[in-house]
Formats: sequence, structure tokens, C-alpha cells
Amino acid sequence: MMKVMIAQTARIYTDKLGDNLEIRDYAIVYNNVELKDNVLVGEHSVVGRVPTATSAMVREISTDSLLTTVGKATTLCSNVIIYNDVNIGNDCLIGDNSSIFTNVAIGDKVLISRNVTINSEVTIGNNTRIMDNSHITGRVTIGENVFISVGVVMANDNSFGKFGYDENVHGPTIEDYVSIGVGVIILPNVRIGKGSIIAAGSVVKEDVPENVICGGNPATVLTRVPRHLKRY
Amino acid sequence: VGNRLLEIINVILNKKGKNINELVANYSLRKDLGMDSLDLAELTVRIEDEFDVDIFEDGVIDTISEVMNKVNRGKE
Repeated sequence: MMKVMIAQTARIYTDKLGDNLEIRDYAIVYNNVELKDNVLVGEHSVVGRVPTATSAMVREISTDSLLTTVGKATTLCSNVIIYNDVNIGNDCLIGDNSSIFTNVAIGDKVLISRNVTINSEVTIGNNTRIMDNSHITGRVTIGENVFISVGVVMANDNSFGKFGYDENVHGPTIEDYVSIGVGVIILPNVRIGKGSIIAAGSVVKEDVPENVICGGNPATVLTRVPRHLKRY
Repeated sequence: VGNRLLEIINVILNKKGKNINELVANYSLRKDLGMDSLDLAELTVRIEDEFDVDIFEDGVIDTISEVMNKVNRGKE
């Protein structure tokens, strides 16, 4: 039997609703959204928002009402903005004030903490955790079981938009079981190999091999990951 | 073991412009030798390469004597 708790001030424009949902005050869920069972949409959150395209933007974005899906038992906290064409898996938590732009796929049991911004064309694997105030730029691939600490920022364009959003614009690729320390900066196009650890405050300018500890500006390999720090 | 361990520790300390002449049992790796988490990771790997034991595998240790115990137990 369908049991849905929708606050009086919430606006629900979709009929693709699972069982046992909770949608709190002032939340907006647009008609291009599917909410699976046991989803919670927190106060003031907006789900399925279509991006606003203007001539100020250097790339084309779809303003169609593409489907956004929120998987079973996933919680969107307060003031969360989820755009169109986003697929969020089961058992995820998206923290207060986080914003996930269009064309993003997020796996199961992913934790996105508060004030995290995720740009378009991003993939995030299962069990990955992204802590407060981090920024995931456009065209980024993040594997499974990755840990991204607070205040990590990434870039995807060495030309500052001069040549538009062409194929050279690409963010980092972060492989499975990577751990990234507080305040790390990751520059465009780099690949961080499976199981590696990036020390706090590092600036990653070049590819990082698997299972090493890297640090500094520019980040260099300091040592391999000792047995007790391995996560797989 | 003691001499080799002293050499390993000094490889790491030398990068920070430091050196020790002897291993003092109750020296703290962090407080007395000033090692940070990256130094400790390097120390662990170098000891692992030499003695095939991860000194932090069973939990956090901090003194030279604890490191010696781990290394000696690993050699048994």
C-alpha cells in the first residue's frame, strides 16, 4: 500500500512516486522525476530542475525535461538542487546545500556531504564519499570506494573557456579506492591510479600511479601505500 | 636490527635536515623525531621492505621501543 507523506507547502508535479516517501516543506519535485521507494526529499530541495541556458554559457546544455531518478532509500537533505538527467542510486545521502548539475550518474551507497557542487557529465561509483565543500568539475569520472575529503577542488579547462567547451576540456579520472586529503587541487585531465593516497594540500598536475602516496606542489610520489593503509 | 633501523630513520630525518646518533627507547616518532603522517608512511614502507613487517598493522605505535618490538617479532 502506498504511504506518502507530503508536506502541505511542497509542490509535486510527477506521478512517478514510489511507496513510503517523505517530502518535506517547500520541496519541489518536477514532472521529469522518478522517486523510488523510501526516498526522503528535505526542506526547500528542488529535484528535476531544468538548467537555464543563456548566451553567457560556453557550451550547449539540454533544456529538455530529461528523466532524473532518485533510488530507493536515498535521502536528499535540505536545499539540495538536483537538475534533470541525473541518476542517483539506492541508499545514498546528499547533504544540505549540495547541487548536482545535469547529466550525472551516481551509484549506490554514495555519500555527498554538505555544500558539494557537482558539475555535468560526471560519474560516481558505489560507496564513494565526498566531504563538505568539495567541487567536482565537469567531465569527471570517480570510481568506487573513493574518499574525497573536505574542500577538494578540481579543474577541467586549462584555457579558461577561451576555446569553448571542446573535447580538450576534461576533468580528472579518479580510480577505485583512491583517498584524497583535505584541500587538494586536481588539475585537468589527470588520472589518479587505484588505491593511491593524495596528501592534504597537494596540487596534482600529472598522472598518479596505483597504490602510491603522493604529496606537495606539484604532487610527486613520496612512497608506496603501506599495508595497513590499503583499502582493498 | 638497531643499526639498520637507525639508518632508515635517518634517511627520513635527513630530508628535514635532522639526524640522530642513537636509538633511544622512549623516543616518540612524532613528538621527539617530528615525524608527520607522510614520514610515518615512508618509515613503514622502508621497514616493510627491509624486515617484511608493517609496524602499524595492529594499531598505532609511537616509540622506538615499540618499533623495535614489532620488527623483532616480525623476524621471528
